[in-house]
Parts: sequence; structure tokens; C-alpha cells
Amino acid sequence: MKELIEFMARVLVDNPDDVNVTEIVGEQSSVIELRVAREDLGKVIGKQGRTARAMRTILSAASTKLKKRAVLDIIE
Amino acid sequence: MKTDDKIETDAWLEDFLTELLELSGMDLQIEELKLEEDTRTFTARLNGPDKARAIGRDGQVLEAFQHIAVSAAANAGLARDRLVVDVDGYRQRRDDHVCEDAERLAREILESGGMCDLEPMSPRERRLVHMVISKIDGVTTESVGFGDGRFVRLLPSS
Repeated sequence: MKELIEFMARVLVDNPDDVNVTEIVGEQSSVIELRVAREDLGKVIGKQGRTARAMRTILSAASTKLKKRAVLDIIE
Repeated sequence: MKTDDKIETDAWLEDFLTELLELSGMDLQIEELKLEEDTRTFTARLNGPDKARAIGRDGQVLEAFQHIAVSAAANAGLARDRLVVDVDGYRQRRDDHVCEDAERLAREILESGGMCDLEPMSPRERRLVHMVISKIDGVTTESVGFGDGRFVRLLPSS
């Protein structure tokens, strides 16, 4: 799931090299922390949070298939 | 120039979707990737065993895929064309339904006057409704509201 978030973030931002994703894996659910360059925050959040919501929706659909739960945390 | 654009967007979209589907573990294939010249719309049709999962409740997952694709394309400098992602014709069926509903309500307004508010829709769906209703004499449309709550209002044209 880490790779999925990393891929989506990298295509959305101006500074893909500054995209940093860490995954804290739990037994059933994991937390995925996404860090991007300060000026790219708006790009991964989007107008009215639509982009962040879209990434969470895809993450949730992808992890449900693996019978797991994953939460996306965008670190500001 | 146009031809170069087409090849560029085609190749980009195919690579992008292939990787996105693989990383999200969705067992889906790109059935068709085509450009409608008149509306300058690229449509990617996906299908496969995970189609229900990729559509999601009320098409939420499909909307999310499309939103990321559109945002990423804009970021890659490919914003000249509209971009549509569809799974197993879901969007087409939903579009047909939206148009039929709007036309039915427009006919009601022609008979009884008054106005009618449709449910909130995406920009693409609102554009569709404006187009369909513009072909009906005596009824006009306007968009009302903000953000995700923006909807189309049908009213008699004076």
C-alpha cells in the first residue's frame, strides 16, 4: 500500500523527489504517513480536500481486497 | 501538433492506469483507449474480475480513480483534453440515466411551469445536463451552489 500512495503522490506533485512515505504496519490496520514538499501540500490535498479524499478512497478499496485496513495520514 | 498531443496523452494514460491498477491490486485490464475528436475527450474503458470493487458504492472508487488521473494529467501538462475513466460502462449507464431524468423533468416544467432542482452532480455531469436541456425549447438551466453541492436548476425560459 506504501507503493500505491507513493505512486499517486509522485504524479501529483512538482517535487517528486521530496515525496516520502512510511508505513506503520499493525496486525489488522496500518497507518501510511505521507510527507511532501511544503509547496506541494495543496496538490496532494486538493480543492476542498478532494484529492486527499480520492487517495483515501483508492487506498481503502485496495486494502479491502487484501482484507486489511489502511489509514492515510498527510503530515503537514 | 494535434496528432502529437494524441499520442502523448494516449501513452501517458495507458502507463499511468496500468501502474495504478497494478499497485492497487485491481485485476482489471484497459479494454479500450480512445479519443473522441469532437469533444476532445479521452476515454479509458476498464474491465475485469475486480470491476465491482473499482466502481465502488455510488461509483465512489471510480470517481476517485478519475480524479487522480485528471489531477496527475494536469500536473504532467496534459490538460488540453478531457479525460474520462470508465469501468464496464458504468459511467455511460449513469450518464444515460442522468440525461433521461433531466429530460423527463424538463417536460414536466413545460407542462406545469415552475422550476426543479436536480441532485448535486460533478462538473462533467452538469455539463451533460446543460447540453441535453439546451436542445429543449422553453426550458433553460443554471448551476447553483458550491463545491460538491453544486447542482443544476431547470427553469422555464422567458
